Amino acid sequence: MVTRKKSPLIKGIAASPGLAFGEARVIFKWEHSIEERIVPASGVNAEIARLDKAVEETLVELERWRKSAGQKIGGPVAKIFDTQVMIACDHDFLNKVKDDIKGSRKNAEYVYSMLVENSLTPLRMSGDDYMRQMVYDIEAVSRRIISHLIGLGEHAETQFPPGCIFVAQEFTPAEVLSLYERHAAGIVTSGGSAISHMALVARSLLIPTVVGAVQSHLKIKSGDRVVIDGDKGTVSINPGDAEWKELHKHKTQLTTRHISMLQNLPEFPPRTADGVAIDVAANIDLPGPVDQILSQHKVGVGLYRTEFLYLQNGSFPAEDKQFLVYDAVVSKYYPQPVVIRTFDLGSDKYFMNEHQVKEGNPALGWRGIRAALDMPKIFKDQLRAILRASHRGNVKILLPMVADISELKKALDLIKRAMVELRQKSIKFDRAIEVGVMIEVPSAAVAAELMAERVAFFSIGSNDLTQYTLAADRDNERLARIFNPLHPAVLRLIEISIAAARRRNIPIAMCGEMSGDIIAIPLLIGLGITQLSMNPSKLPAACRLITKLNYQKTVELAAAIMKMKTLKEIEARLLDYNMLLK
Amino acid sequence: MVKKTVKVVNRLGMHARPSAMFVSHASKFKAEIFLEKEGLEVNGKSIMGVMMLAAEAGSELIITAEGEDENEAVASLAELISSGFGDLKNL
Repeated sequence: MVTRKKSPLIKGIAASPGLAFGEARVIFKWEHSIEERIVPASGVNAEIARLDKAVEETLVELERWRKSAGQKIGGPVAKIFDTQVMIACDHDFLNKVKDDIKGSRKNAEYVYSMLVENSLTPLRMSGDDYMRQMVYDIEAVSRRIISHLIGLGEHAETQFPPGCIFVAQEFTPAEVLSLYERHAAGIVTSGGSAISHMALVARSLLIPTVVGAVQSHLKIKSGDRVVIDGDKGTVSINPGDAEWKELHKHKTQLTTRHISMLQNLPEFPPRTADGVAIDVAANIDLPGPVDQILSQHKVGVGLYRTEFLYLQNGSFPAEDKQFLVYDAVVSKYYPQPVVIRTFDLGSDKYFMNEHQVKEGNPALGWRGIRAALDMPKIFKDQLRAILRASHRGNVKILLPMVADISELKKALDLIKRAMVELRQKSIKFDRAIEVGVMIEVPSAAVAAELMAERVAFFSIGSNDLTQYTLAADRDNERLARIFNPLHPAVLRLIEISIAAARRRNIPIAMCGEMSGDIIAIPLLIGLGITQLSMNPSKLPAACRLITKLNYQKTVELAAAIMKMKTLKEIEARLLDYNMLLK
Repeated sequence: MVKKTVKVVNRLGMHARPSAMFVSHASKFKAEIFLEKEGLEVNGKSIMGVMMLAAEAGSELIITAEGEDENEAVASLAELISSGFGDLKNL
């Protein structure tokens, strides 16, 4: 019988709405994700045998390397492998691991990696380079042993049952995708913030997620019953049996709440109380269950993020494959417009295999349009795929992270060339396709005027714009209170961008998290944002709010806000405004 | 049981190579060998243990041996450390 310890509620940050409950699976990272598993008493000897086998296999490898190094390089270098062999054979250490496996009944790779990490901690802290070098040897050996351990297909549990709640210190966006494919019910991370990319991906997949739940990956054990509330940001471990049964009874009502809310969207597009129609659209990622619902309600796409295509494959897919994916989505939404954003990849967001660069400051690094322009062939492949998908006439192209007009010019030039290539092959596309740029780098906002004459629209990326303007990492949970798009400086940049757009009479949308924030929406409308594009789960609340607004009053509100000097005042005013609407 | 205190003299302390040499040598003896630095004691025949001590130059170590050849073990290992690991003296 499994004893379950009930623990007090863990408070984290709400990252993706919804209620979820299920059995926990705690994942520890070690390059490969090392899963923590309970082994039945009868399986302990098998785990120990697995460990011995992995060590044996590692020794065979090391011996091969030692011989080869000895032959090719000789002497001192070959001796490196002597040390590594010694590490692999350390009986004292292996016995400790085996004792722990017997005592805790956890799987070999988990126990082994935990004990190695414990040994490495004092070394990592040493100020001495030579001492820290020992870390290299220990890690090299343990990595081999662990890969042998988890490479044993017939023993490793690569299949998770559907409906688990996955827990870790952190998950990358790619990992969230993989969890989605494994039918995860929910996600909890100890670190992270609500506007991190991982959270965005979880939201687009409608997976309830709580981040910043400090130490949850240490407090929760695999097999624990976990309830997470993605709206409140709470995690509850091992609720009582009665409560657990109640949850399961109402499961369908509770967990499909958000998709069904979309079914009940009011008149679309929503109109303010004084009759002004507001353009509201959706941000989408992976093709998913939402596309059908949204297109039925005639909701268009203000931001179609394409990075997932890279993520799923770990490499840029061929033009034809991309075209099939884009075309399927675009046809679903037709005649509603779909704004497709070209790949915005960089070392901070996603691991780019052959293009990986080790950067000291990835957010200020090789990403977005600048990376794309450095890979013109790949960029053009995507441009051609997007152009081909535009043949019905409802596609727009959006360029990410444009900081400088020269980048825009180069990109427009590549688009022209892509068009020529397609024309030569007599492939249909929209010759009048509109191209816009994201306003997310402060230089783009400040100098929006310079770009306004060359583009058909702007789209403000409030998350990155806020990050760069306030010099606060969007993923840093300690800075979660500093990072606020309502800051007067950020608002001024938004105002400048809107003014530039107005002078050229082009639309200016917003596609960051701010556009789905009901506190900010009246301000954005009053300032002159012409389209609010948001995560689908935010649509119902946003549409309802808009019907309560008076357009003229929002313009007055915006004017008043722009006179305020502090974030505090601005927030207070907007909260009051929101209260009065109810 | 025999104990002896020694000082680490090589410039770079007991990094990978000297640690490996110590463990290799200690493993030749029948006695149980322990190495202690500032209250933390590890098995002297365990490379992971010895490495974990991260004994820098100038640190004091206590070698303990218990068993048949304990005297010989302690004397020999103490010599190894205080001589700076022979040919690695200047490393």
